Amino acid sequence: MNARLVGILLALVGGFALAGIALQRDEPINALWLVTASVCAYILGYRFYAKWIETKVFVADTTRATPAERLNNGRDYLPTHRWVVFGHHFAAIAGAGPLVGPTLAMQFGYLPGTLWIIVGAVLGGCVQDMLILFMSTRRDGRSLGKIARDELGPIGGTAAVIGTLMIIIIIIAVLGLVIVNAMKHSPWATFTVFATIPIAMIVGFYMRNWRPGRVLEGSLLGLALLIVAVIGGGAIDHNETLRNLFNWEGVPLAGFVIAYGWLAAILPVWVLLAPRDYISTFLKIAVVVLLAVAILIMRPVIHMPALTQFIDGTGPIFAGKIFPFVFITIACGAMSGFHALVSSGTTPKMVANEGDIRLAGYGSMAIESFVAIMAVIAATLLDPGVYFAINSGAGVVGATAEAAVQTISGWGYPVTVEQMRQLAADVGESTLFARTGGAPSLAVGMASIFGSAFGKGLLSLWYHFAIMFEAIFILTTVDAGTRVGRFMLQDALGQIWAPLGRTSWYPSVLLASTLIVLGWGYFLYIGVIDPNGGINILWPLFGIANQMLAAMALCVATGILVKTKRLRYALVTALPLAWIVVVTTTAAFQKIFSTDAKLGFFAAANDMAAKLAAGTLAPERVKVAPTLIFNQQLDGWLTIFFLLLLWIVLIETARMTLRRVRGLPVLPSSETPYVQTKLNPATLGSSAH
Amino acid sequence: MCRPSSTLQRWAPVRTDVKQFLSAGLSLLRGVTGDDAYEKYVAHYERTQPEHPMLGAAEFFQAQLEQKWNCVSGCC
Repeated sequence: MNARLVGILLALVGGFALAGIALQRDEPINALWLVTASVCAYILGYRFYAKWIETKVFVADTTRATPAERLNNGRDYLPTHRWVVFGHHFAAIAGAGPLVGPTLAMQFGYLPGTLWIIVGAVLGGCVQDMLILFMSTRRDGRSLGKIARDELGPIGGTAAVIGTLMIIIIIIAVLGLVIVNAMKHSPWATFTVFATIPIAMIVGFYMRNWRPGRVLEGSLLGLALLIVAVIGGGAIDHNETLRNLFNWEGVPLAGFVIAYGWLAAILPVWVLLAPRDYISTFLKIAVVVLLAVAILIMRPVIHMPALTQFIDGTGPIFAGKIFPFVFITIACGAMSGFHALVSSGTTPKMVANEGDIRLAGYGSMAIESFVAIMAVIAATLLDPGVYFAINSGAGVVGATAEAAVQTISGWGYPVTVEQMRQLAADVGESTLFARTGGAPSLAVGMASIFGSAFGKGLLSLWYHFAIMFEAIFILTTVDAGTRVGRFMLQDALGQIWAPLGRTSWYPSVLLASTLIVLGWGYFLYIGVIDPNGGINILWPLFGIANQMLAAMALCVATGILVKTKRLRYALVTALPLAWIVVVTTTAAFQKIFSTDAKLGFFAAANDMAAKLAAGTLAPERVKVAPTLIFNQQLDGWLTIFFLLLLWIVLIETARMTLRRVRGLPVLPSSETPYVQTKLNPATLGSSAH
Repeated sequence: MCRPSSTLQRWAPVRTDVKQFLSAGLSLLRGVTGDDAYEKYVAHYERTQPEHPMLGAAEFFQAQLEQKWNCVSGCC
């Protein structure tokens, strides 16, 4: 009775806040409305919807032994306290994705993105993460690809594996581009990002040789050194000679990221990869908490309108109408296929009891979604004119500051050269015009929040702290992703020639790592030389790939629900699945068939080819035009490929469902048989059990 | 006059609560970051197979890393 009362109260408060957000059109609203609406929605979703799914749909059995108990080896399979599993899962799913996507999507205004983040997470993303975690836990912690093969057959399984590999390549490229754009001609940011490498190595040495396994000490040491590096970057920025040493163009910076990714993939993990990941986990938790506290202290006012005129598809940051592109741009934070990989990776091997799955699966994703809401707040508290000036490519608004200011003010978002100059000086950058990719504008927003809450004089330090924070995430994705991609490729190559499948055979390591790095390195390079900033091409491609993977995960989940005689509950996954299929397919069709050169990949290739032939391109563009034309075509074909993969898995799922409904035989469920648990939850401490 | 001992006594439950809260927070942080992984491993071994020799802290850390990075463990 009490729970119901609290629920009704939360629903009233949340509904009131949502109505406030949706209806308050004429005057700026306070960010606390967004915080209230989202937090109420998460609590309601967790307490009621997730609880209902737990008891009715997947029917958690608290007497059943989990793989962590049955296969306990004291290492990866290990029954773990539920809050530790929750923290671990959150740290593994959260990265730069929920920060960058919402920042870019704010070109439509704050309303569409905010609603999608809340509704998408509560009804879609959290449900997907929780169900995949449950299904993997019931299958010895097997991976999504393996489950897809076991449950849907070899075609569905292969499609899921290929899809995973492709998405890894695209995500590394796009995040690499984000960080290159943040470092371009910014000696302070470049120095700080470079410094993270020796710092990671020192921490790696500390954790391996000096104080083996003392992860917390090592991470704290790393954090302290990173803060020193951020401050040191400021000193370098003020010294003319040193400044020039770190003042780089985009292409050499891309070369640096590529070389770094390759080295990190072939070096032993303790050197770079593992220590960076440890620091990243620590920093992630600390900054998320700090940001939430700072928002509550500052209570910023949102200056972005609820909707902008760019919902019609003419936006400067990326092309395409509000439907489907807001749902493609915001992937992590609302619904993300990548999470299904973590939910079927390390987490299911730690779950001590099926009763903990709701907290780890649904709860972690709710927090990730809240991180996306904080990114929304950081982007929308800026003056819209400033937001568009930072995020629009020079090819869209004009190459000079005057031209950009004129274009953007012409849209109805006044901004002046002086205002931008002052802001750049405040944050310690030479310019903030056309700093595409989302990271700089997010950093300006975060710096304003931290600055107002904890001291304004430090704006430039907060800005570069935010850039360092994003860089740590992104380089972690670059090196971990390259390594994962390497293993998947080695696995595939091993089918062709067995020795290539040996993961520790050095020639195979070199070959597979090089191929993966060349894959994402190519897209990164093209993004860097693109006159419109590249992010407008790569981010939609990443969004389509990520949502395709989400659809595949939901297919697997729906297939399992159907197979285990829970057909009447299959709508829980089938509805988000239907939505994400409609969104992804529409977006892919527009990217493939649109005749608008801003939107369609092939249209853009044809448009540039025509301009090249007619000789109307600027001389500096003539040189890169053939590469860009080829790339647009390649992106078009990739989109077609993603669409095919998605529909193959979908048709396989539908075929299986129909057979089941008709009473025809289907592949047997791969669930492991019931074993009664011997664990006593009360004794499950966090250090021993 | 002030009576320090009684003030201390009055605040003792609060101090215990704060202490418990902080230690729970620390143990959570240690669990999430993997700081206590070796302790867990030792506890597991002592309970299940005390006769077998265990890995040392450094060896364990190394083996743990190799294993962790053989699968997908990070995200967007």
